[in-house]
Amino acid sequence: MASTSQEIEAIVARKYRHGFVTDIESETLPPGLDEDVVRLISAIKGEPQFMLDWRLKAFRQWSRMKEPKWAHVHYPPIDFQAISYYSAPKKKTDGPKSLDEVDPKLLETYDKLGIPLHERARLAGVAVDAVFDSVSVATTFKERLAEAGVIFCSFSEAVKNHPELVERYLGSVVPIRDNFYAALNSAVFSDGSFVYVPKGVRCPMELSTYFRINAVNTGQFERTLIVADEGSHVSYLEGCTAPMRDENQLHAAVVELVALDDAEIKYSTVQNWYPGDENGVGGIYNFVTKRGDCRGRNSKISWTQVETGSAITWKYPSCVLRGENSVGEFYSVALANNYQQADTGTKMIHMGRNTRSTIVSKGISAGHGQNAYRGLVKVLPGADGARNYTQCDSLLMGGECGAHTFPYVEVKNPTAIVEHEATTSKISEDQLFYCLQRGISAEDAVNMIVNGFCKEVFKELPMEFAVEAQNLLAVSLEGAVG
Amino acid sequence: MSAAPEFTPVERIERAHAAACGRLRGGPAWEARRSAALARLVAGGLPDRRDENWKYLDWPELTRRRFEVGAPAGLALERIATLLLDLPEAWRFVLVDGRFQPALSRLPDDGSIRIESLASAAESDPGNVASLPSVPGDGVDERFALLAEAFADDGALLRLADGADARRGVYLVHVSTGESSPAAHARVVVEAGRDSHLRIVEHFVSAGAGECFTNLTCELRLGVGSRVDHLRLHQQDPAVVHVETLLATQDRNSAYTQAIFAIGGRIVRSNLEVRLQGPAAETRVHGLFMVDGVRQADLYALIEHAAPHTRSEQVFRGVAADRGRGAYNGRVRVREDAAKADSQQSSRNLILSPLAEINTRPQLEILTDDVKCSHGATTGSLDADQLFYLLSRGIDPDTARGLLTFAFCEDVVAQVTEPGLRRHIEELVVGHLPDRDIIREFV
Repeated sequence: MASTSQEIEAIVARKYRHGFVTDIESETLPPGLDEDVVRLISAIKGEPQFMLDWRLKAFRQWSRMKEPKWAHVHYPPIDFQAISYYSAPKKKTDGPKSLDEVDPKLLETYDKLGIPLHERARLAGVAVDAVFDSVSVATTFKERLAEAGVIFCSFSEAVKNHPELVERYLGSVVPIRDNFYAALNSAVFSDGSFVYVPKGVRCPMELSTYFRINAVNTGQFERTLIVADEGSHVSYLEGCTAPMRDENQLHAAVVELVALDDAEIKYSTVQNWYPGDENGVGGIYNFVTKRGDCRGRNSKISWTQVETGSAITWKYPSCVLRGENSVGEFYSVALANNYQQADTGTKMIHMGRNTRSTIVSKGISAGHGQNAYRGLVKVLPGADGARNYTQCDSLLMGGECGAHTFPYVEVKNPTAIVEHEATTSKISEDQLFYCLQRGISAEDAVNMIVNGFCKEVFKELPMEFAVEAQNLLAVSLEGAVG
Repeated sequence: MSAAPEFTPVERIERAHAAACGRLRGGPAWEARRSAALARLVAGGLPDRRDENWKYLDWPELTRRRFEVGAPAGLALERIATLLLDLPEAWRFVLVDGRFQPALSRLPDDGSIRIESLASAAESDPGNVASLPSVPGDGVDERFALLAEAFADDGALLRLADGADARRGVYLVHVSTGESSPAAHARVVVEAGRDSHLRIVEHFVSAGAGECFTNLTCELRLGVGSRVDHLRLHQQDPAVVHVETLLATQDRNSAYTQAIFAIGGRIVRSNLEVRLQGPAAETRVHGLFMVDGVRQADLYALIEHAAPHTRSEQVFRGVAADRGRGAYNGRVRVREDAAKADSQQSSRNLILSPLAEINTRPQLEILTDDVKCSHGATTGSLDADQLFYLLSRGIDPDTARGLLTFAFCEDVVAQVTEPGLRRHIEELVVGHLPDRDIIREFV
């Protein structure tokens, strides 16, 4: 097996070039999951022993776990033995040859979102030279990052080049036994991103998966690890407003953030995977575990998310506020249209003294969409002076959608102050009337009101992202009005 | 005292049931109902800490209790009489360890208002028991109602004819002795006819200091346009573990108000499920818990809006001191066809000591858009500015804290309109505060 794995490794490591032909069959594992599959994945990726041990431990843990059922979502049972757990990067020649071959509906959406031409090609999976533009851009960015000492690479590269960092931090925030999907991810994750910001460094630019080479087909089990060393600062953007072409239905990613003393991590997500059609057929299941650990004093982790895609979203970006004076933030807009279901929220675990957290969650339900906020604010006995403010608002559009709020507040310290408030309502008739009588069309008026509703969250996004996010909401709500 | 550890609670319940079988009254028809309830309970099991709505409950303390019912014994009625509140207007119905005590009771002779013991109703006509609906028990939250049905051989049956006026009130007293019986299970059934009006004051007291387990199921059916004002005062001995399940259904234009005070007992666990199934039905629930020592209060309320123009309001206040633990778990569910539903939830809590704990979960499940729903929850300590104001007027810190805590509780206490009763509850609240004598002078 060692010789085959070396061969495969060599193939995988080779750079893509035109006319590159390999036997696809040999790179895709047959469906099913057992210890041999886990060993094989590790071997294909040429991982050191500690990674294999870790994956096997996770697999054994996963085999003993049951699928969680508590979320407010419904879907047919998933057959985990019917999924193929490894597929090498797809041949680019499989994709459409030019933009002319791409579904016109998709192009229309890109147009509405205002996505630059060369990006459209890349997003649609077009195998043309236009893609090279972004690649070269990425290369120049890489040089600037290297100058600052920031490590930003794919997870596989990190395992090869920085095994000591990976071994030290991997699984330290989301342990393998954390939950069913985290355990599954730990056993079989294919690739993902790794970021390390050294002491005192302020990352010179927004990091984005968009600029990372090989980012397109990281697969359904993605793993992200971001470590901000003492006094550093990093802002990370994940995802993209444009709908992504994707064949995998189940996505179970894990994101771990570690902020040491005085460090700050800002993590922004825009998720717009295929939500299924108007009748709820198809669509991505997005079962993600995201957690940040404010390990050091005065550290700060801020999550901002705009969730408009996926048939089912099951996602709770959390903060463990361990260090004294550490700060956790969560800003979220979640939209469920047609038959989409979203069960999302956050956990703020206050452990250190004077820790503070803010939660702002905006849920929008339309069509038959079901949107749930599920959040936990927990103050442990040692967290003197802890402070939390939570606001979660829901907007309902139409008589067949649902909005649910499941907050948990658990306080074990008398000096802590925890506030939670929530409202649920539909779009105010008065606001709508005001807009209409000034000549604004019903659709524009609704978009305006919805954007106003979400403003508190959008203002936390990096600027260019915020503009796209506004357009995205308008596109996602199409057909929900009137 | 404690049962052999090798048995699970459900197995112990089965054994207790087998032992109690011969002693329970009500004839074969009722016996069959009890056995059916037991079979459903055994099949479904009791909830445990893995069930979301039961996760904060002190299970080791609860399952330590014995569930069997003792034989009726001679009681010191004079001693029990001293525990009763003086409510001269109201009719009185006293249950001791779940069994009716006619000597302490005072019942109406008005034909439109029937209050009788379930056991005697069953004796006079077995059809009375057969006509009672069996409790729901499929949901995990209703399992203790099944437990009550499996053991109860007595309780109260209140039937109001259409248009009956029972505003004088029914004073329903549950006394646990902890001596003759380690457990007491009872059922209360309230049927309010069209446009009737009923006030009930339920009072839970202890006549002994024994460790015991009390379990109550209360079913309320509110007819069209009826109104039930329900006050529940938990004032048991700190060794009593109490679980209760209230199931209410409301028809068109009916109104149900409840004020619950959990100021006693080792554990008070209250499950309230209200179903607003007629248009324009309305529910208001106010709750106050004060937990000190190692006591626990765990209040759960589910209000389901199943018809248009229904309204609900929940106002809960909690105070946790020492090692006390308090939980509020409120759920509002608005069904697809409940347009124009209006719902509010408020949960405010005070934590007064480093070892106390508050858990609060105000939840909304909304399935239609034309609604107005909101909730708010806060947890913290006393306001520093208010404290400073009192200190600057020369009031010592303990008294100031006591006064502010008292004022905090007033949000709920103020719901009690009957002056004598309100005085009694205020006394109870003050009794749990530091410097109580000085505070009494202020209030």
